[in-house]
Amino acid sequence: MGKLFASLVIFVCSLFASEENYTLGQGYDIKNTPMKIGGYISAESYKEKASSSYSMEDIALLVYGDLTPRISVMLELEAAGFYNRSYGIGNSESFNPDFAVERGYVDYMVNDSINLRVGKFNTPAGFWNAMPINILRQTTSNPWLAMNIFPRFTTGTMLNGLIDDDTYEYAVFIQKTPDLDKRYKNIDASDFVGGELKRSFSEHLVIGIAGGEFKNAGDSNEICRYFNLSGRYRNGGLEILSEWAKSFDLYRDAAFPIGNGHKDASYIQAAYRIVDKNYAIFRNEFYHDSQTKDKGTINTIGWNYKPRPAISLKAEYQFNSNTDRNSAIMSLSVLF
Amino acid sequence: MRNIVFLILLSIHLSFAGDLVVVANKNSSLSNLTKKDVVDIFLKKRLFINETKIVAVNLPASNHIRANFEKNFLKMEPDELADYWTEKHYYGVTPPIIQQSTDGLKAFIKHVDGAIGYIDRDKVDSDLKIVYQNTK
Repeated sequence: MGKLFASLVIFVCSLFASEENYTLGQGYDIKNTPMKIGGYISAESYKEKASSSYSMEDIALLVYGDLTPRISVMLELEAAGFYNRSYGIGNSESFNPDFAVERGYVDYMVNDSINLRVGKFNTPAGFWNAMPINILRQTTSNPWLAMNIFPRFTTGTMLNGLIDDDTYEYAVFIQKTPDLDKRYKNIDASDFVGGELKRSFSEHLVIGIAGGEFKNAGDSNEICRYFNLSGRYRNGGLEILSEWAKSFDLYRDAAFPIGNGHKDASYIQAAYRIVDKNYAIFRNEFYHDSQTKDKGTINTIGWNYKPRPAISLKAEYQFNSNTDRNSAIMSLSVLF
Repeated sequence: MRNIVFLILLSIHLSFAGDLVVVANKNSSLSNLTKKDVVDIFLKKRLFINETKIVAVNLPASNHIRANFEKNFLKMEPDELADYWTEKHYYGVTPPIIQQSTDGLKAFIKHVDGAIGYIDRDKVDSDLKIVYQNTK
């Protein structure tokens, strides 16, 4: 798969290297087709008290386009942890050329209010999960909430669209099949149903509510329900993001030794453009997992330098309530 | 004195440059769009109006009419728009298609149902209809 991917990238780049209308971060037009091809990379360095690492964290390929005025397709192949070199505890070097289907879906759009999506897609829950790649975010790290409460991806069918012009944005989805590609999943779910409703209160402020229920594919006795509240305020060079989420692990078998558990987490993040192309970021987050007894707060301060819209150089430091986990993170990400 | 003349000429130029209108095919079902409709269409937040699939048409990035449109209609700076389309690329959404000149844009609109573009008011002809004009 890795060799196939590399060959494909080289082939495509050679075909379009002379593309006159190419804009970095907006993909190549594949000539004589309605398709575009692009991708992204992310290189990261991570240092905490007992260890450090350098990695080519993500390499991904995007192919998408409108096959007809109403039908469009999207395919995203990604190798997570493409190369990693760790020092200190767990001193190691690893190479993972294993490209997985991160997203792969077909859209049939009836109108702006009704779009039918079939395949694997980002689970509609909050704002962070809608922008899961480094280049689109203000920090390299993800809030605990985004990785631990609900499955980041869903394989199934989704109905989504706009209501009342674009005052409301809704999505409802159902998954009844195995995942299209289980690699790199944060939670292996099956029998997943859920939805989200977002409302724009102005051109600056959007509030959303989401929820769902899924089975843990690794434990047929476990059902998990989650709720997510989210808000985003954008005005000029200021962006404030906040989410609160809670999940309940419910066991059908009352004799199950672990018993019911719950997780809850929240974050609020402010990013402000200090000077042109430079953003200062502060994020405060809280997390709690009742089963693992893991509980804490994380304060993150960071800087995001974007010399071009598709290039981001980030540096951040995380102050964790468990000080052994304090960490310094840097990254370079590019969308092409 | 020379500065005053320059400012007057500049004002006249800006006034003229600001007189853009949004047009569609004269047989199009599109009519009387709101400013929000126009913004949503050119940012591809909305793709349909009255069940008609909309095809937004841009002029090249270097074109002064486009710069005027983006500044006065979309109210967005070039960097802001570049950020916007970079984010949209991840979601599989591409910027509006480009025609190289006003004549090319007019010809495209005349032949494609649902096509919509912006031109100077004095370039509107009988094959086009104005669907939005900036009343300021």
